[in-house]
Amino acid sequence: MKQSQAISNTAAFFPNYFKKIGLGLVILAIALVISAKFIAFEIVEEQKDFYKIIFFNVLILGLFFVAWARDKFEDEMTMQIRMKAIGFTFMTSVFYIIFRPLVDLILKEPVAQMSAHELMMFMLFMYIIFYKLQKRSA
Amino acid sequence: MKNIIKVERAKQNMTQQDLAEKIGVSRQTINSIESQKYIPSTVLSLKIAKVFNIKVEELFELEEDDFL
Repeated sequence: MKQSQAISNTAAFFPNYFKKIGLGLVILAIALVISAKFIAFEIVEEQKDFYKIIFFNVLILGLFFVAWARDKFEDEMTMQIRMKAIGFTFMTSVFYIIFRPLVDLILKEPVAQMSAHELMMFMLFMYIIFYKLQKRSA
Repeated sequence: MKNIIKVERAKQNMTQQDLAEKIGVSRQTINSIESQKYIPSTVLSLKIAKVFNIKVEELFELEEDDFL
């Protein structure tokens, strides 16, 4: 396969406009939480977990769109930067999983098992941050 | 790894954007290659050399650090 074909075959990435959609979803998720706290509508205790899942899913979907949307111009350098960002994300996630319970212990908070949502949010945030930083310094 | 892309561009009165469009990369990539922040692939190196009509070995030069 020619390299130009390999790069153009980035079917795994969303179109560029998905960045705006993702950002919109993130803002929506945050707005939902804020409105639930301050606008008076009663959330039944049993439904709290359900709304929490909805919030996390919308937030994660938004971050995923932002992270996985193509740049306006993708070439071999952006692909290399993406790979590096994925590597850094994986490493920091491993450290996060290992050391986060220690932070809970130090802060004398109950040590709870990390949820998949929390880990996924952390990974997506880290990937976006690493990618943006590396692109700026390139 | 050193390169003389900037010199060759100047000889041919070419901007970074012009070169980027000819070889199908972004202007930022050309800038990164010239400032030695990014090492291009073999294919890209050959494309750049072809645009300037010189050999790849004349365009890029290994430094001592590259052997470490």
